[in-house]
Amino acid sequence: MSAGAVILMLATWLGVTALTVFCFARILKHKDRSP
Amino acid sequence: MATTREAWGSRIGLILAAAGNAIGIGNLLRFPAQAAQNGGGAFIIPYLVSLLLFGLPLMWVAWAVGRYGGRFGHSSLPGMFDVIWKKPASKYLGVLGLAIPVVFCLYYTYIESWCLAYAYFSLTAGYTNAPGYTVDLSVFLREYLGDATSSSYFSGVMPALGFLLIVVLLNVWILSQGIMKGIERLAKIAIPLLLIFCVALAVRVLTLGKIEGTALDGLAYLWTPNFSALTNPQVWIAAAGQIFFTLGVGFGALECFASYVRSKQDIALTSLTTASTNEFVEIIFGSMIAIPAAAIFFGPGQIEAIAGSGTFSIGMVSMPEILRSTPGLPFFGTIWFLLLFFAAFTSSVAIAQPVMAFLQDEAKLSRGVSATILGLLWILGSLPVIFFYKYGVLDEFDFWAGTIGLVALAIVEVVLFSWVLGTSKGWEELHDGALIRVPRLFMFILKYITPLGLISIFLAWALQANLSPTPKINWNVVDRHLYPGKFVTGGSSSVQAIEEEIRRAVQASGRDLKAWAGVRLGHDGTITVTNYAADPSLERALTAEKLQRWLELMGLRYEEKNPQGNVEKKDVAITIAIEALDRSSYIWLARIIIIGFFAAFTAMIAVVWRKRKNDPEEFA
Repeated sequence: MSAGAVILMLATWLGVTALTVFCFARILKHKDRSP
Repeated sequence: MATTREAWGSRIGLILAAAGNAIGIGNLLRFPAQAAQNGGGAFIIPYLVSLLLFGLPLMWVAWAVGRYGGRFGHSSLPGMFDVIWKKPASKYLGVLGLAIPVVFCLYYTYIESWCLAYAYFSLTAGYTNAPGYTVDLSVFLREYLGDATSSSYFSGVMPALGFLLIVVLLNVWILSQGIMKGIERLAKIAIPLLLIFCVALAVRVLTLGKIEGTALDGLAYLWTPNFSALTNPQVWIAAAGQIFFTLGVGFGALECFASYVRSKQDIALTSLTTASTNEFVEIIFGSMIAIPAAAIFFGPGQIEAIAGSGTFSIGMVSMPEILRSTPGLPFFGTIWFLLLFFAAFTSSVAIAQPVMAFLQDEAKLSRGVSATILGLLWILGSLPVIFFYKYGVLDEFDFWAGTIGLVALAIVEVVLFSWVLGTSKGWEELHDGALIRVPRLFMFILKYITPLGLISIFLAWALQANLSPTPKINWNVVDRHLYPGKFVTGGSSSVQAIEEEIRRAVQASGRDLKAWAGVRLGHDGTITVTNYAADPSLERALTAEKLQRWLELMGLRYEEKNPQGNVEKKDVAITIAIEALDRSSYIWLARIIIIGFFAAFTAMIAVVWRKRKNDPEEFA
């Protein structure tokens, strides 16, 4: 597996994980959890 | 007899339910297949661009339209479009948001039922090889679906019908429990389970070691960028199509979910969270399981062929082949198919909910009556999908409802949002109670780029429409289960001339044509037709000599592994059954069913709005 492929894969995985964690953290931080 | 509107129990429940709508079979099978076929790692570039230009904007539109409609007591698109565009015709555009989900559910729940059936087969070792009995998984699937000329493993579609009934009843039962006790409760159980199953399978695949290849070979195949693919417009269309399918926009389900969200409560971050959860499952687990597993068992050289064999072939043929070759088939096989089943189940209940909402909120029917009507439509409408599967009814429903229809609905919705309601007012709705600010650049994207992009996708897909279906040719080795090895075909474009003659014979006779042949396959590659019988209408197009030539051009041979593990060609005498199917009447039946649903829902909208006009108090 080339270095380019590894970087692309890890960057995409980390990016999408970070976005998901950020979103859930913001949701959970908010006091009012009613929809 | 006004009914009380449904409501969500919690924000997390809403997010999980919306994520359940988005996370489907496509995340785990369609995404890796599309990526493998469209430039490997380079596919992620148009994919992420499409997410920004179509996916996220359409998500926000769906949620904003939904909550805006909900303010007026509407949970389905006819009512929502009616309040956005105050013209008599606008509510009828909303019929797209009723007929498309219903037609989609008719075939999607059938696919869902395959997953449940295969989970059962995995648990009971239903497709495990035994001494003197071999299960060819490709034939196994085709026989289960009634799409084979042999009956080695199934003698009819009754098992498929049984599993479909179970799945439809499960869906209707969940819907009959309402939003909070049905869909939300299901999502709170199914989505965490789905994630646990994903992790278990990914760990299993990544720790398998080397057989024909390694998991890294699969990841390398999927992530090594072929940047020259970016100059191919088809790659961009494929990426936009994948984003469109994966986020579950274009069904009216998200609008329905958002309609139950109260004013001054966030929808901007909620919808982004839904999208990111879906992308998390798709990009990470979608690339960690199927393709790496295929690389391990079949070798990196076979990945392209497996990815090109189609979504169902990867999920129902390649994956069980891999899983039955590893220790613990009952466990991992069952987990794989339960994973697909839960992914599909949470999607189908969500997609059917707008129809329930229409019957409850607009037609003022009770939840029980609405669920009964929907269940009856669902079961009756699914029957042609099962019984006429081999004629292409499922594919026809998929093309019109699951492909063209979804984009058409998205175009209508984004135009109404951006050009009729107005991006300013829509923006206000999106940000009412929002926990994040969406960059204003998206106002421009929503007004110009998203509609133009969607129209391009629509035209690209509509041009693929084949309005005059061609006859389909099926053939199988009748006594396949007696041979432990593989029947292999090499493939040659020269077979098309003979197949074209067969198709012409079917079109001339206007009915299905059949033939049977005894065939001897030699270890030296020779093929001899020893006896032959065919329908008189087929005899001229497919003589014994032509059949022999056809099989030779296909390169049909039988291969078996010797005790040393090397593959050898062997002599076998087999019986082949061939059928050439006249599909036209079944394809038209499928189209009439689709038109019928559109007509029925249009009539229902007309009746409901007339009643609303005559008795405004009841509908207040």
